[in-house]
Amino acid sequence: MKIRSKTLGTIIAFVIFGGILGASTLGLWKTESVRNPNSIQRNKSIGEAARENAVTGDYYPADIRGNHRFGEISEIFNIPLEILSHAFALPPDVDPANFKNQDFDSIYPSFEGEQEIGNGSVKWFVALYTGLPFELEDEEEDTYLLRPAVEILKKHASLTAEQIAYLDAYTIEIEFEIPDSYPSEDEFQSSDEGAGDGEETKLKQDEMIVAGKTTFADLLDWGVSAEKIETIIGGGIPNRLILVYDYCAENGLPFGQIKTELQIEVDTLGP
Amino acid sequence: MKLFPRNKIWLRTVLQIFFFILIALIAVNHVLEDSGVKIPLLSNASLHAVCPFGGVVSLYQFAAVGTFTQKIQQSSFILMILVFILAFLFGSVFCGWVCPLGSIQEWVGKLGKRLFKKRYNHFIPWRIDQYLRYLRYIMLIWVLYATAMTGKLAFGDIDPYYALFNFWTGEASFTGLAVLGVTLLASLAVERPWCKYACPYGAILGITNLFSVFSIRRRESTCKSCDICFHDCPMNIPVHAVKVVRDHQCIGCLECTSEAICPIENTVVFATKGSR
Repeated sequence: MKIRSKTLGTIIAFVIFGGILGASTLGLWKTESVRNPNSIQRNKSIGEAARENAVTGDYYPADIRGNHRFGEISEIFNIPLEILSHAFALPPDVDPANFKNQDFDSIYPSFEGEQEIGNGSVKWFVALYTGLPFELEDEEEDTYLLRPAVEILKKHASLTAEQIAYLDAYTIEIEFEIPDSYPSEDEFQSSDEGAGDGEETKLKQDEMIVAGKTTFADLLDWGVSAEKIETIIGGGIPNRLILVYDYCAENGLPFGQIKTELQIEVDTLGP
Repeated sequence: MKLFPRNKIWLRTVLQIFFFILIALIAVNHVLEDSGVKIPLLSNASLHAVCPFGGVVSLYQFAAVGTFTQKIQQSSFILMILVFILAFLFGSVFCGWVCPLGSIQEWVGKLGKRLFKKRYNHFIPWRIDQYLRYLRYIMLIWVLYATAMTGKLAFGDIDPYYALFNFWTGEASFTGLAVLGVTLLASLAVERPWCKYACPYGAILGITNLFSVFSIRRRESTCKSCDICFHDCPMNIPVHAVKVVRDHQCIGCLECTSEAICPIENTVVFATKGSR
C-alpha cells in the first residue's frame, strides 16, 4: 500500500487534533493542574485536602476553612508562621501555630462599619502571597486585610495594579499594639534588595525549604545523606521521587515534625 | 508565480508553518494570561504542556510513583501517545511535518543553501558524520536518567525549543538561548543540525523507523541511480543505495520520493512492504 503526501499530511493532522478532541471529550486533556476548588467538601480538613492534591503538588486557598490553624496553613502553603502572625497582628500571648481562622473575633477590637477580618481574609492573603488561583466569592466581597498584611503583600507578592487598588481600598488601619517579635522592616527588605551573591544565597536558601512539594530527591540533592533521612523518617527511602509529605501521609507520620527535623538537617549544610 | 516550487511536498510546508504559528501563539497567550488578556479560541497552556517529549521524560516517574515530572501535564502524555501512534505507522514524521524547531532549522537552511550552494549540508565528511549521528542517543540517555533521578526537567535549561518560543519573555535560560543560537547558526551550513546530532526526542522517534509500517521504498528495476534523492535528502540518507530506508535519521519528509525530487514515476515511494 502506497501513501501520498496529501494523505499523510491529512492523517498527521487528523491523529493529532482528533486525538486531542477525543481526549478532551473524555476529560483527559489537562494542560494545567488547576483543580475545581468546589470539589473539596467543606468539612474536610486542610490536611485531607492537601493529601488529595499532593499528587499534583497543588494546594488551593479556596480549601482553607474556619477551623484550620495557622500552623497548618503555614505548612501547606509554605508561608512562614511569623509572616502570618505579623500579617494578622496576633497578640504575643496567642500561639500562632494553634490559632484558628474562626477565632479572629476573640482577639480584635470592633472595627468600623462593615470592616471585618475572617476566614475570607486569610484565603485572600494566602492567594495573593503564593500567587495561587483564587476568586473572591460573592459572600467574600469587601474582603479586608490589616495594614501589616497589605504591606507584606506589596513587598513580597507579584500584584497587579487592580489588586493593589483593591487592597488599598480594603485596608484596615490597625491601632492596637503590634508585638515586638514580628519580623522587622529590614528583614522584609533584605529579600527584595540587590543582585549578586547575596541574592543568589538568599534564593538558594529559599529553595532549600522542606515543604509539601519536597521530594526525597530534593533532600538528597541538597546534600542531606540518605542515612540521616532514613533515621528521621524511621525507614528506608521508598523512591527518590516520592513527596516526603505523601510518605508521611501513607505511613501515618506527623509531617510537621518530620519536616522540622529534616529542615534542621538542611540548615546545618549551610548556604 | 507558483506559491510552492514544482515537485515540492507543499502540504508539509503548510503544516510546518501552521504548527509553528500555533505554538508561537500559544506561547504568547500563556504570557498574556498574566495581564488578563487572552487570544480567543486558543489555548494558553504552557509550552511544557504541549510538548510530547515531556511525556517521554515523565514515563519513569509516572510508572514509579504515579506522578508527573515537575511542570509536565497530562496533555504531554496524550501528545506523546498520539505521536507514538504516528511513529509506529509512519516513522518519525513528527520531526519532518510538525516539530517547529525542525521547521525553523529548515527555513534557516534555505538561506544556507543560497550561501554555500552545493557545499551546503555536505561539509562534514560522512566517515565522521555517521558516528556523530549517534550523539543524540547519549543525549537521550542523559536526559532520561537525570530526569528520573531528580524528578525535575533536566533538559529544561538547555532546551532550544523552549528558548525559541520564550526568548522574549525572560523565562528562557541563557544556556537554552545559547544552544538555540548555535543551532540556528549551524543551520546555515548543515540541514537540521539539532535533529541530526542532539535531539533526544528525534532519537527515540528515529528508532521507530526501523520497524514502522510505512517507509521509503525504492524500486530497483526502474531506478536510474541518479543519486538525486541522496543529494536532496536533508538528513543525508543514501536512499539511492538501499531498497528500503530503515535509517534512524529519516524524518519522513517525502522529499526524496517520486512525488517530489525523484524524476522517475513510482520509483521512490512511501509504502508498506510488498506494495507495487
